[in-house]
Amino acid sequence: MSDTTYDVVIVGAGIAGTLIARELGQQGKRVLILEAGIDASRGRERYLETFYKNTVKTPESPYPPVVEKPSAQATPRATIADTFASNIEPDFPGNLSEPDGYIYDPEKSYLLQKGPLPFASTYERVAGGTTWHWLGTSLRFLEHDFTMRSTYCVEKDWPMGIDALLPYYNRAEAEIGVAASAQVQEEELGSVGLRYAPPDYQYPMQQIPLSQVDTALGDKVNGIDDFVDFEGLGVQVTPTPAGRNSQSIGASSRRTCAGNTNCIPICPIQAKYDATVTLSQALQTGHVTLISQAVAKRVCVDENGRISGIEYLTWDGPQDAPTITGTATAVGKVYVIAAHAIETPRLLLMSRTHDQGALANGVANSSDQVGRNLMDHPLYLSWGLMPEPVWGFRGPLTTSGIETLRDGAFRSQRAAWRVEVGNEGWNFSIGDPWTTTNDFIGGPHGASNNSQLNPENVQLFGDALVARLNHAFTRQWRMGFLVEQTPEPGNRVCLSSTRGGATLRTDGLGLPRPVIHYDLSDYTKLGFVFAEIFARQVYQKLGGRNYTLNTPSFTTDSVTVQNPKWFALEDAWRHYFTELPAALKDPRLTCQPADAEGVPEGFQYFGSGHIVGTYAMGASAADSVVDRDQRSWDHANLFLVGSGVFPTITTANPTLTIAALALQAAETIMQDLG
Amino acid sequence: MRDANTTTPMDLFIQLSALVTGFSATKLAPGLDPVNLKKALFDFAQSRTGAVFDALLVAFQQSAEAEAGTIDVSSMSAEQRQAIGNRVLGLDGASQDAQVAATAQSVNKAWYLGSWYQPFDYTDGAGTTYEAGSQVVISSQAYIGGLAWKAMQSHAMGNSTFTFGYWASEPPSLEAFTGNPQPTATTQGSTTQGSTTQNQGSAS
Repeated sequence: MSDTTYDVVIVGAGIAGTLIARELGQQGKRVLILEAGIDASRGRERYLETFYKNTVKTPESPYPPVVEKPSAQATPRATIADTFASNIEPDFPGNLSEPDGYIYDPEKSYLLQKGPLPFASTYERVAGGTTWHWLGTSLRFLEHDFTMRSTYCVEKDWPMGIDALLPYYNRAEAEIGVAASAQVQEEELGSVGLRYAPPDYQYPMQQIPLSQVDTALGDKVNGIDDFVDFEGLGVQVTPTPAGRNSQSIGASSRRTCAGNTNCIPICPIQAKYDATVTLSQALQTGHVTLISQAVAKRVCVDENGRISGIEYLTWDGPQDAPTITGTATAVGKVYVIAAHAIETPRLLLMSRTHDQGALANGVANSSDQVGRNLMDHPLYLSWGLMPEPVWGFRGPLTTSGIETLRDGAFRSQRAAWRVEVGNEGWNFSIGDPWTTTNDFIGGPHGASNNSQLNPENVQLFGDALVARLNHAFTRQWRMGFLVEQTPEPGNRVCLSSTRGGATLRTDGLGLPRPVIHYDLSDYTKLGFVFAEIFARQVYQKLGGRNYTLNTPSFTTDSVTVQNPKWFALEDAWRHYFTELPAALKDPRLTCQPADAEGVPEGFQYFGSGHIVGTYAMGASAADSVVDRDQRSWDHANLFLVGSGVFPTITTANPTLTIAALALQAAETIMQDLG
Repeated sequence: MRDANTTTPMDLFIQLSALVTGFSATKLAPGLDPVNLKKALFDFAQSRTGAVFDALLVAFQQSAEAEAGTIDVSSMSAEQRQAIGNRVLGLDGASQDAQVAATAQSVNKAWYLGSWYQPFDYTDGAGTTYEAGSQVVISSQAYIGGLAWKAMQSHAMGNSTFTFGYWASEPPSLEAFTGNPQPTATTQGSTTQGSTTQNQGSAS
């Protein structure tokens, strides 16, 4: 391999890396992209076939590696399957104080989870990145999301306000092809700080129609402002701006959404934007080169503190037994790390060297903030049955949300959230249609009431089976509360090492794997309390029933293990429930398990796939990793992009803001290159 | 329907499947059938259960002919379907081979979910052992064609047969999906045909 010189070297072919490559390539700059995983040419059909035939339908199920053997594989990554109950270490949680004690079996879980709670979100390592399995939700952040410290005396301020980002939001929405009505959004959400400029701004595509689920919900809750504990905050079911085609426009003429109900894990027809769209545009400029199966292993720094190259190794062969085919150094004038919020800090930390004192903590890490402040939207999943059919399992996975509760004075006390309304029945919630179907076909032989819909263990066939399943599936629905997580320096990505007597754990290329320390703050946990209080009132107003289970432990073959993704309710918070009106303590409205007063034992959380904060931007080199231009404070020709730069996670899904910030970074880099 | 002398194992499989699934034989095995899911499921079930599969078809045939004088499910009364299903699935108190009954359930799940749930430990002619409870997706087409999607009046997740915006409207009727007239599908815990127990899995 020749060590060609480029204008810009980018690590990672996801949405941030490809947008920057495309922008610079269009302006004639020579760009190299290093992608750890396979390129995009093997295509959608192959991923789709893998998805169809996979017995688990997790977000990662279509993509390589399909089964995790992280110590052997070339590009393992976090998966939902890593956190299955069968992978919980038998001596958890007592083992966590041991040097080699993790929540999940390190031979199954790529992330080495030290807890006390597990990080529950995942990503992909293939060209196109995690946008392969993103949902498409393209919400803007709100005004106060940028000013949490100055407005509410919590969290942090961003080093920029919303106004600075507005032009880039417009451009990002054009790139992604976001479908929404600015008029509807502004009318319903202007009061909580949603902003557009100019005043007559229009989204590039018309709004996606609401589903029957959305309409049934909206009919009962829209305009109501007397929810107990939410007094004065209006409730509105708002169509969600989405990166999925409502029209087939533009040169590529990708298809309009056919409602495959499969945005996660894979849109079969690419009606949903993903970064392979931008990657292909980048390559078509003729100035962008992609090297796939090229894993960056070290960022090199010269004596002046400038980045001098990125060492990478190339691999080939099967994931489980890769062959390292070469090592090279990519050289450019400017370097961009766009490897998402776990692999980016991993690379910076792997680049530490004791030969250069300033780099003893890793590259770009004079602040000691690299890897810290790892965040997600811990998701409170609440599922129930509607009183009448709403025909879920139809349409895009989500078409609406309740966004009106994302901001308010309460944010000085507890985490805000948005409510994502699901169109996929209890698929996410309990794994339907498999679970309920098995319950009713199996009956007492299956000894199963996993759905909670078959407490008598009846066994059905024929017409009665059809009727019972139809009754269940057409009424199932769920809400996902995306709870704001506070930035905490102790929530961090580290590298596996032999420190403290631990075993060094590497991937199949011999590179150290990420160790994760993670917990939820009281502020964030309190967001769950209010999510449950809100959910009960929604079920009450609908005349529906709550089936949410917050399972504290799992028992298989009479062995009981604690559910790692569960936390107990603090005693100090019991009063929030005991003080509720009696009607809201009805067991048909409460999650389970809960006591006679409707006080939940605790809450289960899921990941939202929003990996944020591990190289945050800030106003000072002392306590942040990059400046507001996403330039490393330590190395002037190094840019770190992606959701890792977010100082706070805010109340919205991150991808649109990742894209907006990437477009801003591309402008800065262009100015640097002259 | 052909007469009894020319009834093939596939005929028996299709009628048994119509009985347990609650979908019409013409939906399971349409005249023009390029996907030929019936053959994929037949072959798969047979390869994983061997002689028990053959015994299941015989059990269905004997029960159907004794109860209704025909294997044609579409010409049976609801009571006859109930009695035959109870017999084959071992729900009527009379003894039924446990492996035969379990295989009937697995055939039903295969139609609904496109996955094979191994009903008992089985070693095939090549010496491969399949453990009871193991699970595998039979094929992409089996996943896509799963009846569970039709029972919800929809499509397989990842294989929409509809067009932009359909989700804003009500779906086609359940009958359009099953090919059978439905008892009041929205009635909860009713005395719908085929139920062996009053269903108390009440929801709302």
